[in-house]
Amino acid sequence: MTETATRLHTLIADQCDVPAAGLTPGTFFTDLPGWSSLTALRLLGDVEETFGIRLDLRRYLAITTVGELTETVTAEAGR
Amino acid sequence: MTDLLERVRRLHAPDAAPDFRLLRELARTPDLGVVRKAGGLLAAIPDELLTRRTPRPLRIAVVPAFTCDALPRFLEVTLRAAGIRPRILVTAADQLPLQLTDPDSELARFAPDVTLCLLDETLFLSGDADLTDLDAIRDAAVERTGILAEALRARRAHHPGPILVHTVPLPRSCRDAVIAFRSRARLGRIWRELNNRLLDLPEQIDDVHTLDWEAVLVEHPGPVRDERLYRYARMAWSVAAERLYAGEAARFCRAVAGLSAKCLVLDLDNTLWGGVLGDDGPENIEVGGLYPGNAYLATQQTAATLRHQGVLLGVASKNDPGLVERVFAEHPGLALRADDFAATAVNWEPKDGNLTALIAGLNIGADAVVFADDSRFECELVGTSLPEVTVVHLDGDPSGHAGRLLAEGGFDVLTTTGTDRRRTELYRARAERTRHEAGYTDRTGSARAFLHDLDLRVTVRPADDFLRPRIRQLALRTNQFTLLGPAAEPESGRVLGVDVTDRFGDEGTTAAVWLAGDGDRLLLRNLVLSCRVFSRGIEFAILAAVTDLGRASGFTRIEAGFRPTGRNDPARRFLEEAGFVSKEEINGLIRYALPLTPTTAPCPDWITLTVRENP
Repeated sequence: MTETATRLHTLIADQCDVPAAGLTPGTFFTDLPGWSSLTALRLLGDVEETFGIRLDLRRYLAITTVGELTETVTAEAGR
Repeated sequence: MTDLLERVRRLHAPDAAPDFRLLRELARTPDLGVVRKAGGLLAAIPDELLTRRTPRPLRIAVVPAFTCDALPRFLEVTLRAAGIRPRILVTAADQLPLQLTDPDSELARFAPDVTLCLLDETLFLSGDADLTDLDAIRDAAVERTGILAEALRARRAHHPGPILVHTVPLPRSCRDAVIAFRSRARLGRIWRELNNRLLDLPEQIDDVHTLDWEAVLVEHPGPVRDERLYRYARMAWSVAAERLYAGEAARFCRAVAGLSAKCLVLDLDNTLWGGVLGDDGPENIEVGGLYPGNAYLATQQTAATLRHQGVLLGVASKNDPGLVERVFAEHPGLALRADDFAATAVNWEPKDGNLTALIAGLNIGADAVVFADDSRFECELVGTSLPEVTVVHLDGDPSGHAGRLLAEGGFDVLTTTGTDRRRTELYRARAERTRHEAGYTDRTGSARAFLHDLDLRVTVRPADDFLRPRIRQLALRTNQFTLLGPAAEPESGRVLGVDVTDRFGDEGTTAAVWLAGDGDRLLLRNLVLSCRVFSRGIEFAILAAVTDLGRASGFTRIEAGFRPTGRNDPARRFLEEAGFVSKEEINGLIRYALPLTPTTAPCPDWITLTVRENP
């Protein structure tokens, strides 16, 4: 797992109170306990602060899995 | 990053060891994600794992005009760090006027101790407003601030308790949409007039307060709004702005809860002046003039400004007392003089012991004391042996010291009164009285002779509009001699203020009593007495006045309710000494009763008591 993926998994785990080890690239956000549009925005804030990036909200809201988020963040952080 | 969070999680374990530094560190860390997360986890952590103090419970309602997702968690952190155990209600966004005016709203049913109203520009400026028609913008702003004021009045009519509103920044997108410099300036003026109206609300509506949020934001580094989140979820403030607001709200809630610091104890060398007096000599210490002397002078001026608003100043310094006395008497550059201090401890003894004695001499709670010193050693010592004292470590560049004292000291209060300006001299007179009393005890062993010699005069009079702010302040500041605990001011009935003078001076209004009649019972709803006038029989004189009033109105007994707070035992001891008998306990309130006979509660013979019908 890349460092970006590891850090992202920690952020998601912190936000949803689930163990980071249980997350895979295929995990759907909507399957996480208590996931809502507010959780999504909280995670967005954490991700942007941690990686020092700013995501396009339309693209971010279209993301459905942990793996897709990792790809998006990796691409944005590498720009 | 997860270091702090790990410490928060550890406290969830069944056998967790306390972590008394955690709240302070959380309140300071710049990591917003950590604070937000921690705020969610803190609610389940018992107070004894986080603090050695007993926190004040406070019901806090947040009534926002927009979505403020992170604010409750930030409030949990800032309020817990400020010594408050909050219970927080956030009403639905966009319901602000409804929540305030509907007597059966969620807000009304919650019955908060504090209400925080969060406003944004949409309350005053509709989304489709024509920014080129400035007359219409102005008219709408005037009308809508009027509507808000009416809603606040309506809320006030059916619920007491302080309400905090705030000034509102005009978003840059609105300002810059007006392209002519002249028109943009006029829009700016219209918006400032709106904010001025908001700042004027405390003058018009009782117990409504205005935070100058626009001024706070001037020092805030980032944008107030993330446009994406605003458009998507109607979040008007960025997460960073919500945290900033939580800090300001905590300062307000502290003042409401009666937790404002009352005393600032300062070190001297490298705190009030630069250099070491004993080594450098009085003429070589750095104060006033050029940097860094001007920075130390600013610290002194800040302390003097606090003193003029009722904060007592003290000195705790390892120094030669004679030399210090000479500096305060003769040095031309100081902003503080010996009589600015209510108490001093200048010697070579350890500072924690000195501070304990100084606090005892002033008869105030250690949790109302702030200690400021440049030495890490002294700060650690005091912080460890007196955990209730707030310690401000003034290290680093002295030009930052004055600001740090104000930011960390917790001195904010809701209002100041005439008594505040004179508080230092009142305490100094009290110290003189104590010395005088010690002289008596030494010579004759008779405290009573001392009391007779004091020429105590007590005047009981109904509260009027001039007296009421002072009485409210007394109710808020009094922790020890109070039947109900601070901040619990009965809402109805009669309020009497008590003025005390003696041959050392006028103490001003130092006690208050709330009365109500119920059938043949006269209810003593509360009695508060400033700790400044303890041990002189004042409370018995007040009771004598109350029993006189009671008999004259045909009551057959007096009843009082006592709610133990852990601090107010002096009030219970008084009730029992005066002959009140406890009857029953209901919901933590102990009911006491005293039959009214012609001989009930005579006035002590060393006090001249006057009861006035009019203020």
